[in-house]
Amino acid sequence: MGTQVGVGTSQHRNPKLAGQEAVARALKQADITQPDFVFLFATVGYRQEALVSSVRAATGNASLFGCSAAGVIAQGMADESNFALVVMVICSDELRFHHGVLEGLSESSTAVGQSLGQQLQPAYSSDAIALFLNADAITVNFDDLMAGLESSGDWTTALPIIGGLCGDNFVYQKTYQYCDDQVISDGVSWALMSGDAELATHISHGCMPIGQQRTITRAESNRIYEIDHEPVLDVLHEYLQDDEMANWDKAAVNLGLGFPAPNPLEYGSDLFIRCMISKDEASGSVAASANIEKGSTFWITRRNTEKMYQAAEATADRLNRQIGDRSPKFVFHIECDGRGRMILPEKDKQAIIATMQKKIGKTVPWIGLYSFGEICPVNQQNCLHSFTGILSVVC
Amino acid sequence: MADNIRSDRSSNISTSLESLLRENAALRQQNEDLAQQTTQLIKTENRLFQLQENLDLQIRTYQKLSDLGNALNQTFDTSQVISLALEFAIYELGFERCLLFFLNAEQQLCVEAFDGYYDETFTTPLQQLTIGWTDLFDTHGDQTLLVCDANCTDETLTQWRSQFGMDEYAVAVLHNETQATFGLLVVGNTADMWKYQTRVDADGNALLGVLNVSNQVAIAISNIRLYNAQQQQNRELEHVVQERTQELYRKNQSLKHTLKKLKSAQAQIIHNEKMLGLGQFVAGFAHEINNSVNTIYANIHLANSYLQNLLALVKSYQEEYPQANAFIDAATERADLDFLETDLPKLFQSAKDGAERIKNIVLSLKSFSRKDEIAKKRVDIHDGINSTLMLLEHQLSADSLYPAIEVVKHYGTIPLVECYAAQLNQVFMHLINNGIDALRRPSSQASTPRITITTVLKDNWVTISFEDNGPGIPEGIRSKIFEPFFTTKTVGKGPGLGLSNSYQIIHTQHGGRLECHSQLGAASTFRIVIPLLQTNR
Repeated sequence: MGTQVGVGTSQHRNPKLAGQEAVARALKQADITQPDFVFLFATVGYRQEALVSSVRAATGNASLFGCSAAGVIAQGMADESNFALVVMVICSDELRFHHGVLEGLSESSTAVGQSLGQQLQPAYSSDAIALFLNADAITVNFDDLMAGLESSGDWTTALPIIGGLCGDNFVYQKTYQYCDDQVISDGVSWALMSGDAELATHISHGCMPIGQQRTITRAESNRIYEIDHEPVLDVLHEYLQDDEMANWDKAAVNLGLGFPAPNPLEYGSDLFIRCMISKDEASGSVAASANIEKGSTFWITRRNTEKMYQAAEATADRLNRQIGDRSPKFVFHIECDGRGRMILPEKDKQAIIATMQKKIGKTVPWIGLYSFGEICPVNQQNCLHSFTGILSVVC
Repeated sequence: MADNIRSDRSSNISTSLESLLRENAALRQQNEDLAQQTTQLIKTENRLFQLQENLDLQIRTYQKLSDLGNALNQTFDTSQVISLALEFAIYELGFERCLLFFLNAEQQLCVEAFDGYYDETFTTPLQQLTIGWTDLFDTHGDQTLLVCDANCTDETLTQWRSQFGMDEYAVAVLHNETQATFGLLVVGNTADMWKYQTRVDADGNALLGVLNVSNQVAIAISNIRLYNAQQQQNRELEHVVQERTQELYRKNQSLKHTLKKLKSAQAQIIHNEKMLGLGQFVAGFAHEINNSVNTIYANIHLANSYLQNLLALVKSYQEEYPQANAFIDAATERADLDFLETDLPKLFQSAKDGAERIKNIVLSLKSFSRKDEIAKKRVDIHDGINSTLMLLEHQLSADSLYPAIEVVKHYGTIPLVECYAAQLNQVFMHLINNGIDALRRPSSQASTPRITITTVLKDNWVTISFEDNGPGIPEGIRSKIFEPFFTTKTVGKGPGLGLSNSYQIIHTQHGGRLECHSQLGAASTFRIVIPLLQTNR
């Protein structure tokens, strides 16, 4: 039998009809009637329980993994509206999936990481290929989550983790993680893929440094208070308009923090980008997407459309070299929401994604999401990235 | 010396260092200036991007509104207009829910359609929702847009939140072409989902879109209603025209029927009068002829007797006085007495035969006219046919132009038939005459012209067929052959009443059928089918 995969989308407003429509399209592409495993990513305008229930019913209650996203991606489609979903159905005797869901990130991301390790361990085997992981962007401390997971053993560091932080379209109130019939918040959903397949992954961004090198002069955990001995909000106000300062989602996607990359060749750039996910006027601080050490040097960075085009082409070329003559079973694509409609004209956004799809194959089942942070290994270490696009080809 | 050299070097180094520091400071300043300019450029670029995005959004919205207008203009289906409006409110304007009310005859606003209510438990009460006009507009006068946003405290508006299933909403009034209100378009959101929708904000641009859509929908629906009213008027007008046309058609048919009846009656009257006159004439004529012929016939007999007596007397004189004088001899010779003796009996026989023939013809005339038999009577139809043939014998005989027409009779065993004998004989006369006419036509190719008369009795119905081997009758003529005053004969040869009267006599008087069958170029058959007894009708 091998592996049969299909991807379907819908933009219908009615969650019940949307789920049915997307599944029907996915099953048609896969040419199957009953999948073994289902990926589901959807934007947050839908009543999430109704949507998941519809997809479950339409897929014969096949095992389901997924999360809410800031947008969804498929072949020829990148939709960041509040009403879009993408479903991938898989029927395979080559691939096996174990999946689950955990809550409590806001209480302790470390504890959730530890529990994740405990859930994963019985399912982990030598033919494990990758762990797909989605975490609540609002409540997760990714470093703590990884620390908790890695405390389960060295095997966790060897396991590539591909995923993203779940979004809610810049509302910053609530994100959702799916596992079968469960729809939770403040948690992680995961799927361990094992079996006879290989994974080719590449990450890239399209940011360029602006101004002078700067230094973090006061920071605590992931929170930055001062840059070059000046209040961080004053420094950032130099680059941002008043309305961007007031609506932080605009600020967060327009400016990044570029730290020296640990492995520039693998990363495709000499800067490793961190996002400033929130600001706190009361304490005069901004929160980064990972812990920041005092004394770190960095550059303020900003997206560059030309660089994004170049990076997309380079990513696809590099993956095609890795894939060689093998046939891709499917592509899992995670795009930072900072590479979407907030900073790019729609035609550029679509064209950058189309560039990669054209090079890797227009008929390859392709599922993706816009996230608030992207997860993939760099230099054999699973990291959280910002302003990046990650392509993982399962072949 | 060495100290001087060190001092010079130190001085040079110091000078170079100062120069470098100045350059470095200048470069730093330039760098800072550039960084400052860069931040300004970034701000400007962001502002431009936002302006461009807003402009693109406006253009997209106008484009979509234009597309909506085109779509609405292309339909005359109210349900499609409603569907397009609701879809636009939800998919393009970005509201979670949309309701459309229409004003009914009782001035109640009733839900006509809705969308965005995906929880099916909500839809039933929604379908029954009605608003009295004053419930919503009592304190809001002639407003075309009512806004109940999240902060609204106006009880007239907030009381409808739960019934609309919206925690914030806007109501656009739909006006028709005379500015009369006929409906409401309501858009809005629930509190738990409004963060993902276009917010209802009295100061926002989104409500301009709502007004635009409601205006387009109102115009489209008004146009459809006007169009439908016009169509209804057209249909009613067409119906009236159709009814009047049908009435005229019915009257026309009635007139045609009346005319046909009149023609038929006229033909019948003409025929009856003609036949009455003819019958009277024939009867009178026959009576007179019969009297005279009887006298002649009787006198011939007497004259013959007298003459025989005279001849016998002359014979006696010749025997008694064989030697007559010369005067007698000369007279006897002049009289050719011997010839008279042999020829006179022949002459009287011939006169007697002629008188007998006249008697027979008169008898046939009487039999044909049956003046004395006005009522239904049981008669031998073969007698009637034979009498008719007798009257037509001279036409059947050969003359200088035409050969004789052979009459073949296949008479079945037919009991006496209850009929109007005189009328039936008229029919026989017409049909045989027609056959003779057909056989005398130049187009007739029959080498032996023939009329075959067949009589058959079957199931108490008598069939009498008159078949000629003439040229046949074309279809165009056959279909009209029984119509009154239809004739193919030249003017003066007949009014075209024979067959129509025959048809009337057989159908109306006898409850039978008169059929015409013809094969062009071969033969024609007229078939009379009548009941043996009139009680069988």
